[in-house]
Amino acid sequence: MEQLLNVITLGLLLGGIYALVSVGLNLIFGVIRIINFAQGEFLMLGMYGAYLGYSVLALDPYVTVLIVVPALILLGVVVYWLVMRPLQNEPMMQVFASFGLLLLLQNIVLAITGGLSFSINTPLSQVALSLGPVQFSVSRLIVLVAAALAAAALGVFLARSTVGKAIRAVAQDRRAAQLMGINVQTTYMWTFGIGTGLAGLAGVLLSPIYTLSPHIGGNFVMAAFAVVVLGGLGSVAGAFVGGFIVGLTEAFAGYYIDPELKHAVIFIVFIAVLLVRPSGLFGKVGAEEVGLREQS
Amino acid sequence: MKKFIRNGVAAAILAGSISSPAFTQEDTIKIGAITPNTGGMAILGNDLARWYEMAAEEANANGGVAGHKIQIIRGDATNAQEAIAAVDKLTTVDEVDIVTGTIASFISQAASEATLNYNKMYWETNALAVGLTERGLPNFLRTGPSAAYYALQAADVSTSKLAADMGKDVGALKVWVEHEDSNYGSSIAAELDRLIKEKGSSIQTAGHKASSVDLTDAILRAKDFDPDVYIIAGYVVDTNLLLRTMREQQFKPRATILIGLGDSKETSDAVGQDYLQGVLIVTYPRHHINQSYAPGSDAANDAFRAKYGEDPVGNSGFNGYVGMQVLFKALEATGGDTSPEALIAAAKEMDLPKGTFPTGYGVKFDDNMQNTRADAVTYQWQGDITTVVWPPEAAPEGVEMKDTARP
Repeated sequence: MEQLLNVITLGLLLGGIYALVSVGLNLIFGVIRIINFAQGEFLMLGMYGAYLGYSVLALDPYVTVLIVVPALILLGVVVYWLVMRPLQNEPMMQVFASFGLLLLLQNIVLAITGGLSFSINTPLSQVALSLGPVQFSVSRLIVLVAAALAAAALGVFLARSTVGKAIRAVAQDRRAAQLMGINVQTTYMWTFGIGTGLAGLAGVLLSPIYTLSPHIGGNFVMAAFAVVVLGGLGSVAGAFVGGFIVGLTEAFAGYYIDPELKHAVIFIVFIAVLLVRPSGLFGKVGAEEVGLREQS
Repeated sequence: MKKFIRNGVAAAILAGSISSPAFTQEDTIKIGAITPNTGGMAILGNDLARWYEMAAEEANANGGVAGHKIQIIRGDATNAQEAIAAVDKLTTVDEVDIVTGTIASFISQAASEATLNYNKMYWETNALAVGLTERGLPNFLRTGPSAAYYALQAADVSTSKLAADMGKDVGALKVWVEHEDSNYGSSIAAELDRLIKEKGSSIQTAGHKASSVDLTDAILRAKDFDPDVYIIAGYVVDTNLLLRTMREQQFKPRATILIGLGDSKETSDAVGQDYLQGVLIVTYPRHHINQSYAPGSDAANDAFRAKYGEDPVGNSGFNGYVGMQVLFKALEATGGDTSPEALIAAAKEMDLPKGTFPTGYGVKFDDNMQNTRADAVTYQWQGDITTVVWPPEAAPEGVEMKDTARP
């Protein structure tokens, strides 16, 4: 029983990490229909941004959110405008471009760091909480809370704000949105920027937990793609709930089956859900059909 | 201006003639050093190349090797394909006589096979995979320890020292080996499993992906086993995550052993030196070691600092420096013949006792051309340094193993 509680806690905390990483990815995937392979690298940049603030400016890593997230939004806007927008009628080329971006960002960071790993080790990152037999770190709890807040804030933003409504309109029907006077390119640009900023937020909040390396983004993104497809394209709630499904699956498989097989189990669940419901748990039926075809 | 240049050149020639013997181009033995100078292992690769170059400069300053000047030519490789290309370039463009290296086993494997196509010797100093010497390549040997020697050292310190310190019979000792699941970690775990079982202790091995986002499940499983000795054979990122999770889950085995890493800033920055106190590290001998066990190691490390103005990086470069010294001895024996046949024959004849080289190594190759006198040692975090604590003859004067339990 003691270990069962520990495994459930682990699954929820891990789910928080996956949910946080997936929310931004799902926004870009669901609205612009770009399979953005560089999303993990934006997360990695967020981590290094937090490390820079911590080591050079002596800032607490959580405070660097105020600098890193706006910087990543700006980077996303620039990347969309310079790289993705010119390829908007070539969806496959956008995918290749995002892969090129992945390699570019990894190699730039490699060249700067020379391959050395870095860590953030603050007093807060060392604090572990005990609730009866269950132990967990404060850093992971912060990620869980942040994932819930980010998902809620994004949901409200999409539902209430003008830009959010425009994003939803473009996601539902790009041509109809254009006919209604919505500037599709500007909407895509802000969507990509917000998605990138969310990756930056995830990077900052995860930086006190992990040792930073230029390839670390890839460790999160495979699972995040599973979360996005599992939860449903373009669905904020789907990304959030999907994160917990993947987190709990990983925790149970890792403890009760074998840590080496946990990723295999995640993708068995992933394929099983897709076979039963191709649009994902929270996606609109048929949403998986539009995507690339809509842009061609 | 012309006079200035003429005088400058004359001074340079004069300085050269004083500092080192004159060698002609024909007298030079070129050694191609394949190390990753770019990418994720660039810092370690560059460090290893520097140690090779320092060994060559020292040999040249002492009259060369068998009357030949030694020249190190760097080749960059971060993967198997680049290793083959680097060998092609070094042998055809730079016309090297011997190829040496490297940091990673997958680079060594590809480079050594490519070198065989040119009928050149591949002199491995560092790569760890046991299988490298089991291929039976006629142009390949390894002067440093393989991963099996890491396992041997970890098994020895566990059963010969830690069990006694814990007041346990070896038969009652419980060991958990947590390893990353590539060839590196798996081969160490398999060898540890064999050695620990041979001693009658109980052992459990478990693998994980080095890229795992979470390793709490691995720690919870180990916690259930309640081991006396917890051994981690991983890379930097996953080892750091395991250590952090151990602290978070309050997992406190009586002793923790890290294989091949854990003595660098990359680990102390991740968990802090306070948490690392008492942690053991099985690795190459390099510093803070008894000078009668590893004669000249302090002087060599001081010379490195004087030459490059900074501390050596990591723990593998010094091992490469000694590997180069072993090569020079083999070349002396062949009279400068660099062919694989001559060098392998000379290496087979070498019989140098432990303590001959600054790492404490001797030289005696087995049938697979693995040096059997290249032992790893056990370091321990004590204060802000790591110092050798096992075997006892390798520990510096007055240094003993301290409490190994986690705080």
